[in-house]
Amino acid sequence: MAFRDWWLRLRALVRPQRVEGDLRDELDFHVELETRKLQAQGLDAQTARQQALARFGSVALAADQCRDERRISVVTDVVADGRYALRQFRRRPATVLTMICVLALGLGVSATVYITISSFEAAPPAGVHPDASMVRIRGIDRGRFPGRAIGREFTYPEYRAYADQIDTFASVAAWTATDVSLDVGTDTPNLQSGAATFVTADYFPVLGLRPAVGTGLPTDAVDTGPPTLAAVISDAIWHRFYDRAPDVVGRTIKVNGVAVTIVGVAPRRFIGARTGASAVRVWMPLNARHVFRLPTPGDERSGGVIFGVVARLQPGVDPVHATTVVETIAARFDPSAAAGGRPSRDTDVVPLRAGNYFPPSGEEPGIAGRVMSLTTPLLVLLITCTAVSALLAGIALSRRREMAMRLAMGAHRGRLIRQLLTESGLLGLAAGALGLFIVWNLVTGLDATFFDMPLWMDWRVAAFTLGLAVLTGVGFGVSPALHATRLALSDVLKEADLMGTRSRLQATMVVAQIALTQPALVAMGGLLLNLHADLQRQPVSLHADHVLDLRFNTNPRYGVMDARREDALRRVRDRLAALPGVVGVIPQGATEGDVRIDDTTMARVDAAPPGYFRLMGPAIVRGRDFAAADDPADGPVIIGEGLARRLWGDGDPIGERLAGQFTVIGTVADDGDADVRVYVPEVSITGSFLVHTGGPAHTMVTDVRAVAQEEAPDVPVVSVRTRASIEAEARTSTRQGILAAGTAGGLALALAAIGLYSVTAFAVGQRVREIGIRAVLGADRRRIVGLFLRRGLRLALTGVVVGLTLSGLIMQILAAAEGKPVPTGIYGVAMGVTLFVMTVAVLATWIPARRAALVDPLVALRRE
Amino acid sequence: MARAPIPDLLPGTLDLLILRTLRAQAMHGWAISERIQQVSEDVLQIGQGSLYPALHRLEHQGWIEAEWHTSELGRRAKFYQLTPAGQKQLAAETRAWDRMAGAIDRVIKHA
Repeated sequence: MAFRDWWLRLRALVRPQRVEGDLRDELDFHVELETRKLQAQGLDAQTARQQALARFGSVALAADQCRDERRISVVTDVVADGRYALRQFRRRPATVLTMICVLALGLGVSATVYITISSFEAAPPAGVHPDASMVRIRGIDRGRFPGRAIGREFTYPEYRAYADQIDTFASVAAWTATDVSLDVGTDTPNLQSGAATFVTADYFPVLGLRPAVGTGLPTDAVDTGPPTLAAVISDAIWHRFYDRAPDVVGRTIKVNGVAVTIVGVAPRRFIGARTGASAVRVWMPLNARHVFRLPTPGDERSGGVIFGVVARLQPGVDPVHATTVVETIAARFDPSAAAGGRPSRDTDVVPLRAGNYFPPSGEEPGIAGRVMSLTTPLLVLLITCTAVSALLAGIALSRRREMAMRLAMGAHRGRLIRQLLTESGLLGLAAGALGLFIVWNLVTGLDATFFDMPLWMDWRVAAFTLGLAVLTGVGFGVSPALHATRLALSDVLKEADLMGTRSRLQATMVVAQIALTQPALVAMGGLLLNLHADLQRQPVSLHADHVLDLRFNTNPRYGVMDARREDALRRVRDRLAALPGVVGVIPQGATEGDVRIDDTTMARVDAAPPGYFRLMGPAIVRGRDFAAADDPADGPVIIGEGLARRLWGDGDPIGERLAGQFTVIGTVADDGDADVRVYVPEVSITGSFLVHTGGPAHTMVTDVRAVAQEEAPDVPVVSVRTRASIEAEARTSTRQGILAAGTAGGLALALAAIGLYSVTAFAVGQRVREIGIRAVLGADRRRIVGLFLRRGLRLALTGVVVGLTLSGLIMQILAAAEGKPVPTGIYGVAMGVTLFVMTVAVLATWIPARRAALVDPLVALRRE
Repeated sequence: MARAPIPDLLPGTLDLLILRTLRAQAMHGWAISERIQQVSEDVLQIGQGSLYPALHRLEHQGWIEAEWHTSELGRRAKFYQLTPAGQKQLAAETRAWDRMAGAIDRVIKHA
């Protein structure tokens, strides 16, 4: 009858007043009946009642024994402990609030950092809800580059072979994407570069998506059937070009010049089954693909159009089992396996999430990288825990008299420990709740900032944070609780030499706090320095608003760059140069390779056609720019000033020969990065042009795009943008980074200051009595304060020395992990942080010590 | 929780007496103690300090269940009655008691 038992216990817990009232009624009723019986035997009312009560024995005892039968004392004890704890908290609100805030901030920040980092691994594509049955069939090719694994997409027949495995997959969808031009204009053309994803009918259902507006693509489309000219547009298109008009469905959008009917808008943020793609995107049925004059893939090895594949597993099938199924099928499509060779391909089934977009590279991220990604949250957590533990120790110690008294009066030590742990657990719980609030806010904010990076707080993180909070509370409460309840009453009352152990404990905490705070702050400062340097390095070009940046997609997947295509691009260049309003067109070169200057120096050769420096910088310092009249046989080059100084000192480099093949005709300012650069005038056609316009560049976008489309219709345009907007965007994203890192740094600083202050201040506050004694004995107040200051400084210095060592170590690891030298500004940051930490430590010693020294000695002595 | 019943009773006997008393009809605490006293011709007097904890224990074990009814005094009183599980328990305890009593009886008479 366990059920009955639990039900009655639960009732006693939930409705204690009702149950207690019932018990009282029942026992009263008995006494009353007994009284009446005695009255009936001839006693008067009062005597009868007295006798009845006497016969009954102790009503309270009987009631107590009845209560015991409920066996809920553990719970009621906890409730009583909780009430007691709340009363305790009211007595020292400042300490308790500080502790809750410190713990909540620490937990909040570290959990947010953790969520952000882990989301890079575990998040599903933006806009898609996580679902365990949603998987990606992932192809890995090991044959193409020996020793390296690269991603492999699938041919249509291979996709069909997977789709036929209906025992394993509930449904399988495939997609293939390409860059297209989109005409979003209603009356006049408004060409935009975007992307089109051609999908099988199951695509949206497999991803669990329904269009935000409209009915979406037909679900009965046949891949090889007649073309369905319908498109679902992305939220970005709807937002940017249609003003979120609800009647967008039914309108027409032109894709590569072909009119297509809009049948829906994709859910917000969704840009496809993988991240990092263009947000300006349309989805169309696969059967419509051939209508869009898309380049035939020239890459023979891909065997035609290639597809990415996502699927839903049948219930009860796990990815491991599904992998064994697809492996067998993949082998049939592997040419090297079919030829009897060793299979060069792996195919597996993995959950659809960011960490699985790319094949396992074989080069697992180094241990250092993994550790580094966890270092910040761990450091913050450690700092937090030290501060909390110091505060808890303080509270427990300040109550040693109460504890000793209760022990002496017969309280069980276990009961007292439980009481103290309840208190610290409750603190942890409160801090956890506040921490969750902080995490939720931070995560929501970050989520809105990173468009294609979904961040959210799932119940696991919430449970983890809350659990960690309670564990931190209880865990760091154990030692003080044990300590506070181990004391003998006489020792406490005599205020015997507890000082020794106590100050050792406190001193350790102060040192630990400083030693941990410093590296965290230095690392944060280093990050800010790096970001700031990035911002500095992003040039504001002189003519940014007079330059259009035109980029074609020359990825061989859309057609190898053969002579015909190169000719088309040259025609684009010449037509653009002839446009009215265009001053000049400069092809942007790729890096043309490396050249050995001497035994120790390798230089990167970049292409800089005539006019490039004037437009894009860096500025020419000596000599001149390239000119059409230069004789290519001389190998004219322009080099960086740094390289010129290194080779010829203060001498004039103009006319000098370089590496046996170049003649220096000019030098340019070094643009701050460490590479040694040599610029040559010849540019291979790369599909990237700078168009120098006479007037504001943005007015020319449509013309430039039209020329590109006319002359090179089968090379998709990626973008036509003004340099000004490209540069502004780069600066904005760096500024966002600085803002984020700055906020995190500010939080860490606040946390560190609060933690350090409370630990130090508490250590001093513990010795108010000692200060009182010294004052009574006639010590000069200034000397007392000086004494404490010296002690505080000694502790702070110890912490700083340990902290600086740790900081140095961390900076070295960080620099090694990023392959960059330690930024020079870091020493300044380290100095600043040290100064800050020392200031906080000194203030935290000085303020309480001074206050204590000013207190009337008698008051100080009486203080508990 | 083991609890000493009336010293004169063998351990566990109180439960048996309560269950047996409730076999015929539902009763409140006072009536149970009166009934036991009456039937045993004043030999067995159940201390109230034992009766009520025992009732609550039996209720938790699911052998009896309680309902509030209006009593003969017009006041609300808690009436206990046997559950099916309680009836089984009563039968088991009665058998055990018979065996024990018989055994003791035989020892006393024949040893």
